[in-house]
Amino acid sequence: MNEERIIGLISKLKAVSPDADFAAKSKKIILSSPRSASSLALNPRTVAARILDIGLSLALMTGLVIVVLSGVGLIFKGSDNGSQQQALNLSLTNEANAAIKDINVHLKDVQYFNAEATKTNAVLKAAAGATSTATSTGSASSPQTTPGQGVSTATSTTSSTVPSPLNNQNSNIDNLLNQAAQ
Amino acid sequence: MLEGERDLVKKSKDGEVEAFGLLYDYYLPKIYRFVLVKVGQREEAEDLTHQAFLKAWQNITKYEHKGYSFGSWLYKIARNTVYDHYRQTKAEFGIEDADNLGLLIMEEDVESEAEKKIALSKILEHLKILKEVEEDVLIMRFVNDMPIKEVAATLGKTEGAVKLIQNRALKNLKESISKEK
Repeated sequence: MNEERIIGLISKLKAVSPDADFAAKSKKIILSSPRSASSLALNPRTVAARILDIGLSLALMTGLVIVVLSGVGLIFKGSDNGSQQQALNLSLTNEANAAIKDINVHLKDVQYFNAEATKTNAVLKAAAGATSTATSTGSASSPQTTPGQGVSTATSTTSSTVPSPLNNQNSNIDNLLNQAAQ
Repeated sequence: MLEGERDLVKKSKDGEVEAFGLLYDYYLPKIYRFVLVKVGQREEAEDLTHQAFLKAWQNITKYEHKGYSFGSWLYKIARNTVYDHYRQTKAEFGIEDADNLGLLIMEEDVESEAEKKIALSKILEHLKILKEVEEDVLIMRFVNDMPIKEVAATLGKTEGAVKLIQNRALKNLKESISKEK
């Protein structure tokens, strides 16, 4: 018997097949049997999956607690914000009132200065009228310069001896200002 | 290798009985043949095959795909189950045992039926003379048509070693049959 013959005979055993009844019964028994708890518990993947499962549950729970606490915190914080807002509004109102008072004071000052300016203007106009009268009188009585006299000499003489209309005008303005000040 | 085997194994690990049922349907004839040729008794083969699949179902979470198929893992379980059985009893083959295997080969050629029966019974007897690993290699290679790579993975040996074991097994089997004559 050569090797090919041996292999051929061994290959005939391929025709062997399990009994169908045995196959069905065995399958049913195997699939209905519980898997050993030890193999499930000691399997690293199962253990890792369980740890991951527990970890995820804890993480979700922690997240939920944080969200709830944040919500409660926000509620309390909201009430605090209301009181703070009220205080801020009050301070702003007070500040605004103070500013209004300052503005009123400044407006009174402006009104006062306006009235004073009006009075001053009237006095100045009156003084200007008086000055123009005095000037016209003074120019008619002033001496004529003779030919040959120096212009500078004549001028200096006039300024020292003859009362100047400008000096009169200034004194009048001073008097009016004093009256206005009083 | 069964199509979608890895997916079926994953589902089986998750406890899906239908997935393991499909794996059972595919591998049962192969494992049964392997066990039957080794023990030579149909009832024993059925019992040991059942035990092997039950162990596989109960310990499937321990299986990890490391380059060899789920079938290789099943063969390992079956081998260990048979070895445990061998520690208690040693099966012996005779011509009745060949009949008991329920072989269908005899129906093809009625004239040489008796001759083939005798030849097959001799083969089965002389397989028992071989070492366990030699017998395993011949069954896996020529009964279950497993590629050398998968046999090597199942037995935990290199492909070269499996080829050597196969050649030695055939040579020993041939010598054993020749001596008897």
